[in-house]
Amino acid sequence: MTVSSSLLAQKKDDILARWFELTLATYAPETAVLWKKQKDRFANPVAYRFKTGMTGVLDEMVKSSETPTAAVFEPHLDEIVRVRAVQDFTPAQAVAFIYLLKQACRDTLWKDVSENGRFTELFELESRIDVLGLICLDIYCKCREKLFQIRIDQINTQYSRLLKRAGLVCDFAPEAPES
Amino acid sequence: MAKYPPPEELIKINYSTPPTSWMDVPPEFKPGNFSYPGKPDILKYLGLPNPRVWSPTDDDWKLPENWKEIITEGFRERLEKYRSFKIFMDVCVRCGACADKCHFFIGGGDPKNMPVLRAELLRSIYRGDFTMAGKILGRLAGARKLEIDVVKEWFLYFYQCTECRRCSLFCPYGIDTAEITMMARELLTLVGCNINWILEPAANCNRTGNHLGIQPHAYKDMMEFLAEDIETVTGVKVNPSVNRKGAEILFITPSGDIFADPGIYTYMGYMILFEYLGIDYTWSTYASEGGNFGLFTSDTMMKKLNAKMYHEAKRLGVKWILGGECGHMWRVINQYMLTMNGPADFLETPVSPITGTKFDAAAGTKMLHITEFTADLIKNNKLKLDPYRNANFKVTYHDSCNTARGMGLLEEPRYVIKNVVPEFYEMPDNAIREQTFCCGGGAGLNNEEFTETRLRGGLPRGNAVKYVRDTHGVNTLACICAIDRATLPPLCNYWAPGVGVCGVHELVGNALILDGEKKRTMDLRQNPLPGFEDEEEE
Repeated sequence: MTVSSSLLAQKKDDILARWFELTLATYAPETAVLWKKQKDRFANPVAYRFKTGMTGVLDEMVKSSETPTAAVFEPHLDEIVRVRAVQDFTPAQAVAFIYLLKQACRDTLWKDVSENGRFTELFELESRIDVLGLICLDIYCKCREKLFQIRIDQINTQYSRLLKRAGLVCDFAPEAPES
Repeated sequence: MAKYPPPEELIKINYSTPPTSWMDVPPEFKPGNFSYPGKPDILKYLGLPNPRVWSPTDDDWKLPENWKEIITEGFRERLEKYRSFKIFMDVCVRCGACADKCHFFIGGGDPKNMPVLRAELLRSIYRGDFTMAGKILGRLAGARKLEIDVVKEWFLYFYQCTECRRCSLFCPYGIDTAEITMMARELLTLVGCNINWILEPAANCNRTGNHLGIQPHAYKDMMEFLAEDIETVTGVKVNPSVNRKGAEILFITPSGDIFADPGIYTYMGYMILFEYLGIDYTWSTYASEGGNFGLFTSDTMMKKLNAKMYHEAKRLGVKWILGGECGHMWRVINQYMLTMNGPADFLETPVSPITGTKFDAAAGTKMLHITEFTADLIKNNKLKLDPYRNANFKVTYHDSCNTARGMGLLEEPRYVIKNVVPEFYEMPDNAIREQTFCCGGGAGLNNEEFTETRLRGGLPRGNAVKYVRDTHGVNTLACICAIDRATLPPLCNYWAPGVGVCGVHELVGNALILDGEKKRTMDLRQNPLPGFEDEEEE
């Protein structure tokens, strides 16, 4: 375990709780109350996916202090970004949750960091979170591209068969199987 | 040691929504959160008020000058006409049981998609205009004035309700939120605010009998095309009859299934089943639509479009009507048809010509659901089935909101599926049967421009599908609704990639062993059957 990982490891659960709370605060207060209360993963998939994704991210962050890679972090971040990519957010708002991890870390670790001068570790940790932000941006774009592809596909399946039936488009399929 | 500023000063960002009251948050229209408005030509054809070109993103919606009176009068008229509506307006105690039950709220988190708050958009006006307390106390009594933003808000949120009625299941008073949405949509229609995806199919239906405007010869052409595909797969030529007078049974199914992928395979499944049974039945090119977009427009439109079913049954002189896999078609049949267009005393209670079973549950409407019909055949050992042909599919079942909550059809589709596939897995209890989650496309919201919001509302369903995909390797989501077959593929593509969608009778068509069929090597989609993958490549 390297330096910033050890910093993170000592208060992982507190950071997780704080990060989750800060992220839910990006929704209307009425919504945040209900989403905090309902624990069933099928009745409340947003909170479930957020908790699962956040836990995964923090576990990986503790495991290694290497620069985060998409291969390791994408599955965890996808749990969160995929949801926020189709919610009523601007692109910036959708991925802003990752910077709330910085806030959660500072809120939780500040005393230890300032009293013991562990700033280098905090900077390192925050730099890694910046990289997570870039991975989030990629995931967000993939989700949006998928959304647009889905819209195109819908138009295609709606009309292509009708056009073919109506004989309005040419069909290159062979009339009979070639011998 | 130097003092460092506290963290909240270092990172001064407030991402949270400003905590203003919902009454003060104006509606915001953005691409993806609304459906396109009705085209003027369509409104004129249907005789609906205020036809014009407009967009929800415009400031001026070009409402009639006296729009306030029109809505207030329309409100009063409906409160007098429907006792249920008045009770629904009065009785809610805002207990919140429904609050987190709507799929759009669960996936999106917009408080105005909490069913209680969505209804409150209407109820607040009711209080202000029709109750003494509201008139005197105003906002204190939860009342507000009818302003232009209120109309905009109604348009946004009552067209973000799929009338799936999941919230009603949890309401201790049994308030039917779908009926509240219906009333709001009727009021909006009075001032010319409605959506084209609903009105154009309704207009088409009025003219040709189906949503797509397919004319009789084209409908028959498509059937023949599908019959050719069936011959390619099975080697058997099926001979469906069309518009035949004197047949015993009239079969009615949604038109979406005759052209749209993957609905056509369900359609082929019906054709194969009927050929196998050799029953005396006919399709109709006039009653060529099970769906009824009048349900999402107004009671008069619903009644008019529904009337063709009995009308055509009478014209053809059939004994009873068999209905295909459709969602809201069955809500209309089960809840409104008898009142609107019954009694159908020229028809008989459905009796299966193969098993002799009399379906008393259908004695009122004289219309039987195809899965009840097929389940009875299987129960009586009348079908030769080879479930192994469906062995490539690990199947789960999505209850359509309308058949599950609107008519209580829960066991029959499952019974049929379990008999035609080797592997079936249920999704979790709170995501199926009466508690099923909507596909997000009901009540006329299955249009392309609404995809983003529909995916948002599709999260609860997608989440449950993903769960069975990950735990059991499920790769197929079966359903009995044409709108599901259109909206679930993109939903799965986004939330649970790798899961395909099919109708129940597509699976039946694959498994059914026809007399004189050739050795089957492929399924109805012309994909290789298990064990024949290599032959395909040769």
